[in-house]
Amino acid sequence: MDILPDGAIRAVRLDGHVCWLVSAPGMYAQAAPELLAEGQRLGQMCVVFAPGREPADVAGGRLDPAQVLRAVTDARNRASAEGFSGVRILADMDWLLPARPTTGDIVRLELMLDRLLTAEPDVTVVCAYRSSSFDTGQIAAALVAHPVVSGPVERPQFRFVAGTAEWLLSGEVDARVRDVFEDVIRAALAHGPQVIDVSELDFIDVSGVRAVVTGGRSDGGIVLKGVSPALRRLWEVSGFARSAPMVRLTDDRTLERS
Amino acid sequence: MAIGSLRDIGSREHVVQFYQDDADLADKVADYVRDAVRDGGVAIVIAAPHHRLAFRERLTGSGVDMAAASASGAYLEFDAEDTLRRFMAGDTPDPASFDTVVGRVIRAAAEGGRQVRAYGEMVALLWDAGLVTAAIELEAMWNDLGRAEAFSLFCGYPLDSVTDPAQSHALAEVCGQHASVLDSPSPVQARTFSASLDSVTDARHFVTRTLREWEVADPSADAALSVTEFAANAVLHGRSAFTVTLLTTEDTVRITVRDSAPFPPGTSSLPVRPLHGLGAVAAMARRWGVEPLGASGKLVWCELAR
Repeated sequence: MDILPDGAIRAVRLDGHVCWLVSAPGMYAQAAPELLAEGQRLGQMCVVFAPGREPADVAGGRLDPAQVLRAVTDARNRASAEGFSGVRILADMDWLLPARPTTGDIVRLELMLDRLLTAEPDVTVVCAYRSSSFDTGQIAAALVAHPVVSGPVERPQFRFVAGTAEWLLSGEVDARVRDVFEDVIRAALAHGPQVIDVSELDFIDVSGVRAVVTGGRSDGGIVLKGVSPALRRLWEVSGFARSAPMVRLTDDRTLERS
Repeated sequence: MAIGSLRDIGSREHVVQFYQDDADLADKVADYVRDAVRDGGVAIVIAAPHHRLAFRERLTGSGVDMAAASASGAYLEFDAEDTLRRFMAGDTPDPASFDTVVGRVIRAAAEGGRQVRAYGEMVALLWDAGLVTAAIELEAMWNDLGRAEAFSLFCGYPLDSVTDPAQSHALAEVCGQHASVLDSPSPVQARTFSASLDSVTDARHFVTRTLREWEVADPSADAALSVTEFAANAVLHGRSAFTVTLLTTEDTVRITVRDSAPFPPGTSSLPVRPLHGLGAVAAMARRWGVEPLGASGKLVWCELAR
């Protein structure tokens, strides 16, 4: 995971799905125009999801990830029709999200966006979260689901982002992050592939495994790829091997086709 | 915790020192209390007669006027066996009597913010008498007193009484009652964590880092899981700060987590279910258990094969 230092948001070439933690008052107003100017210099079409600038197809304050995804896809189509090199979208999350979003609301939107962006290499979305508007739990939820973060933050304890055809879970999952992890699993497995690559997962506790087992859709099995010996042992001694036959574990990162 | 010398023990620290012989102990105790006696603090020594004599000789030899220190109340001595007898009820120390007998002395000494350095070997007497559970309970009472009053405590254990491998279990528990452990016969580390969810992660990192330092590779994943589950129970269910003690012998790694949440009345164990934390630890461990410490809380421990 890339964590860019505070202020780097305007200096660095941004790519993909970026969480911008706006840590000081006035920082957004100052840096946002520079961020967009840089996009224009790179030949990107720039779109802003913010009050006063909103595109016709996005309404702020609603919890509707589908409209956000549609707007991103529309922007990309428009950009390629008009000959832009790509799209840079700045989303003011204060405006885009409803008031007092739950951590579940945040991860659902961000994971769906992250999944969409894996298939859209020319689209960059910068999600701007003001630390004055979101509490630490909400910020933590947002950080988990972004491959790139800019701001004065510590590395999140675990990260859950979209891979090409699976989810990538890395870091450490324990009681400290249990609530966010359960939100993430619920949102990811409800709206995406039922395959999680755990080869970069350093630790998971029993409740974390339970969250994975119980978080899947009822219509399909879950696959865990790149399972470490430690996780396999936990799986077997804790009784999951017997009680959760719908979950398949493979040591391989490459998923065998069945 | 690394401490350069017993002189540097913090004002509220509770340290266990394993010692080779009486001369070694006398050097360490003299080093520990000397500054307090000289600089307006109070030293409280609860020890066997021959130890008290040896301490006096060492202190006198290093220029402390012991007659003046005793007369002014800067150096207080008590006999370990007599003192112990005054608060034991059968084979168990009685908390109220302990407070009357020991708590009163400590409170009087600490009055006015004086530095208090206590040395005791009553716990070692209980250990030697085979009353290991009583020894652990007494350590817990000292810890409770330490939360109310500012004093440092130095517990002496003769090394030869704790080197029996069959006692490594009890040794770990005694070490787990202390903020620092010096010169233990087996590699042992203890650390106390606050009652927050961050501590669950911190406790795991403490265990994995310590095992790495000891170059113990094998049960590292099981150890990480065990301490995480124990710590999560202490914080989420006990809402308690907790102390993790890690001890290795030739063929085991032992993890003890002590919290200050007693069992609810009428219960004496923790639920062990499949697909839950303790169930996993129970399945991984060679042995494991839970021990109530009366009103002081409880100990949860496991032994993992190396």
